Amino acid sequence: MKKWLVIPILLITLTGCWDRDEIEEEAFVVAIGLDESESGNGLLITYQIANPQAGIPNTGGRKEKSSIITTFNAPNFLTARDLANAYIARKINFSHAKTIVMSEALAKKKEGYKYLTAGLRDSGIRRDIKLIVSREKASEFIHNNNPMLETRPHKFFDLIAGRWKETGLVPFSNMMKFIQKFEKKEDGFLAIYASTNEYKENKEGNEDDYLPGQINRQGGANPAELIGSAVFKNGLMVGTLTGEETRFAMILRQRSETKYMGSTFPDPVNPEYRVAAKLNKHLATNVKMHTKKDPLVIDVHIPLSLEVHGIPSGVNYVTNKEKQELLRNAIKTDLEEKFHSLIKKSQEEYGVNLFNWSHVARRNFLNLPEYKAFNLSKKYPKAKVNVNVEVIFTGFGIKLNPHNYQDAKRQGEF
Amino acid sequence: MGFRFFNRQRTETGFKENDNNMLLSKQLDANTRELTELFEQPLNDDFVNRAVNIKTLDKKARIFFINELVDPKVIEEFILSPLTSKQTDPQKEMKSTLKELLPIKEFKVATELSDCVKGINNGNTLLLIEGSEQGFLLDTTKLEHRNIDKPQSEVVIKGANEGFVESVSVNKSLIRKQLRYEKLVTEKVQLKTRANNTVSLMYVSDLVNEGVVEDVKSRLDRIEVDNIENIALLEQHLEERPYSLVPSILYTERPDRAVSYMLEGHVVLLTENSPACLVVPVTFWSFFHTAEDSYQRWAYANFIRFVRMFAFFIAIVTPSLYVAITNYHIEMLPTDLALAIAAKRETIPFPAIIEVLIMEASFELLREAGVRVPSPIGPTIGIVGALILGQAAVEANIVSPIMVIIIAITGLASFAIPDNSLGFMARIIRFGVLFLAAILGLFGIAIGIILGLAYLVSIRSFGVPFLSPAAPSNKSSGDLLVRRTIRNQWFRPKNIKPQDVKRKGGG
Repeated sequence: MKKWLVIPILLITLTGCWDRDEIEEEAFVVAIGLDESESGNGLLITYQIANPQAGIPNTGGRKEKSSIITTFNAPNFLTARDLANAYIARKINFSHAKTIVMSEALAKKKEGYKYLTAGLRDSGIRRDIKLIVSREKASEFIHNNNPMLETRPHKFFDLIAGRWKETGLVPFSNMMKFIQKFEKKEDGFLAIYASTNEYKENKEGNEDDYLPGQINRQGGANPAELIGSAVFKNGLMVGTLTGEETRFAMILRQRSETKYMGSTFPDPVNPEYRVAAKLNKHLATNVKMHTKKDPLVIDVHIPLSLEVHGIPSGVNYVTNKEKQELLRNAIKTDLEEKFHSLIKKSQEEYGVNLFNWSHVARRNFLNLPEYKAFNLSKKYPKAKVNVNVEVIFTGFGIKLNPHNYQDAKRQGEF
Repeated sequence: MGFRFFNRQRTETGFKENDNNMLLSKQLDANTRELTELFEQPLNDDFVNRAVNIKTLDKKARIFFINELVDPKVIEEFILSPLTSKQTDPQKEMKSTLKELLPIKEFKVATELSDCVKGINNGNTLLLIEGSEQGFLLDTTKLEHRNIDKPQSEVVIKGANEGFVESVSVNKSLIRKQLRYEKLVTEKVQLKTRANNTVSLMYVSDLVNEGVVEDVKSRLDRIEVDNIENIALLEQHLEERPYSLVPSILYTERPDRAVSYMLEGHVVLLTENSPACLVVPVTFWSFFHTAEDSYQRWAYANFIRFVRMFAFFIAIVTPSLYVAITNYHIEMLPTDLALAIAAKRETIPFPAIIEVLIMEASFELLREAGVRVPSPIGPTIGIVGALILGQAAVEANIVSPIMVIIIAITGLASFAIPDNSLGFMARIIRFGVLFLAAILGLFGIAIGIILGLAYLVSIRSFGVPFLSPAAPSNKSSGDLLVRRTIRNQWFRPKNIKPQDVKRKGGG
């Protein structure tokens, strides 16, 4: 026997395929729901498990349900998988879990973050798993969530959580960010806020001033609404933001990846109407913190570019420079007011900044002890924040003049 | 140098034993007797021995040749007829008289019997004259060979379509046609084989690395076998690592490639009966490139290089990636794909690795059968293969549809590897990597690739590191994975150690 053969033989026999699992022997959990336990012990856990056969031709699974949902009581949502395996034949696999849904009730308690952070120790769970806070019980949310367009359950979560990028109506919220903010303590964390129930306080807001369950709608095939955000301070949920407030919070962050958000503003000439525009933050928000001043002074400069594409009042903002200036100032004042009120809310109601401003503050200090001594969390609620919005118009759509409704009426178009 | 051919004491090969370093005798009869005996005259029908009278010298003479190796016309017109009828002034030396008499292009004098035998075996006509101790070998060789044809495996869309044929002289003329340069040298090396094989070394004498020429010669000198029929056999005698999966000598059918290598300082080897030549030393890149890479314009050439690089990678790792990812790293798959694979695999009775092996085995079968099948039955292979691999196996729930895609794309990619040897290498390594992937997942694939790279870096071809000029880094024309524009390829690859690194005009 040749000596060199010993090494490869040892390598092969001493290692092994212990972690090997055939893909068809796994049950893919796509959503995990966390609720307070009714017995007060541990958690009430909901698994939504995808049925791979659903919707695939030639496997006999065409008419099968796309997922099964099971709810049970267990001390921890990871160890719970063994319990679930008592009645699910396949090995429970978290590697494709897209979403953790946490009920608002649990999020407001210490147990919430305790169980959530415990889950991070498991290597089988994705760090980018999305965090959703539901107004009702998480199990209820998962049961009621029934998207018609998406055959498979994970697709809905994948897609809708990705919409934050375009609309900004929900924040970008995943486990990883939650843990970061939780450990940092100086910044608040925004989680996606959702509901499948209708709430009585229905209101007629503008396009984004809603909390989930408030949108006055008919149909839409799915009772689940994801809009607004749940505010976390030190891992505990302390309040909520509406869709509009969430958008502004995203803009106030230095770097926000939200692309275009459609928004309307009161028409300065004809207040009956609202001007529709696409909002884009073309440069990073410039935040300066004067940490030496007392109280703390924060200057925020927000460059926004607007593409106006709806002027229902028919006012000529396109070619008339004066009117354009009027519109610019109106939008600027409107936005600044809203930013101010959001900042005020964060200072007075939550006592924590929601805009990742601790990054800005850190730059003013040479080392960590100095920064710690400064204590941003204490100073922020009393800080004086100056917001300056710079509005530029990048375009007015593809039509030069607003439609002349008077002419149209005469010609019998209306 | 004696000819061991005659000294070897081995009878089983059918060569006649003879301890002869004998000189020719003055007597024609004695020589004739000796030769007829050597060539098994009464038995051997092809051996011709004919008496002539030389008119000018008024002497008896005899010519000897092997019928099938000579051009009868030449013998008639330029030997027999001048000898018997032409009259010139006899000169002092027999040689010069004959030279004047016989309008033959090559004319050699032999004094040893063994030289005469060798000459006759190579298609020369031996002229022996009464009273002379010298034999005259007249070049009358005419060997039958195929006409010049397209290269079989190195096909190009743009570029010359002449390929080597089974004749050294034709092959040399194909090379010289492309490179008309006085420093292009052909060196004939006699092998120590029983059958007197010769190998022609061609190189450009003011570019070549002389160390390589010496190395090749010494390796040729060490070969001791009965016969080397063609260059594919010579390749195996020359290479350093006969057990290695990695080829270290380039086998090419294209004269233009041979020329381009010679211009970079490589040595080209040619033998009789081979529609190809060998190029030494070579690097990995030589196997990876095709002739067309230089002929196509810069962007197109690099595009096909990228495709080929991709193909090389795919051919080696695709099945392993499938096994590793579906068995160990399910989180890497997009959820939809994971669910789709899971759904399709649910009814398959085998684990993924067995599934892969089944399909790989049937594909390799199909491939081998496709090469061996007689052409009238050829279409059957296509039908059977398409049915078995494509449809029936899936419908019978033996393999999943995604597996068919994987094997098909792997097979396709392996056909895109330009060199036959490199293709074999990829095909075999694939199974090694697959095995590693099955027991260790992506980690195993990484180990496999690292080991493979380490091996490639460690080996040499005729003293040249196999991955140079990339690793170790040398000055070169930048013609590796991608190539520069032709105008910017200023340098010869320095790893070959050519005498002149810079490419320029004027020789």
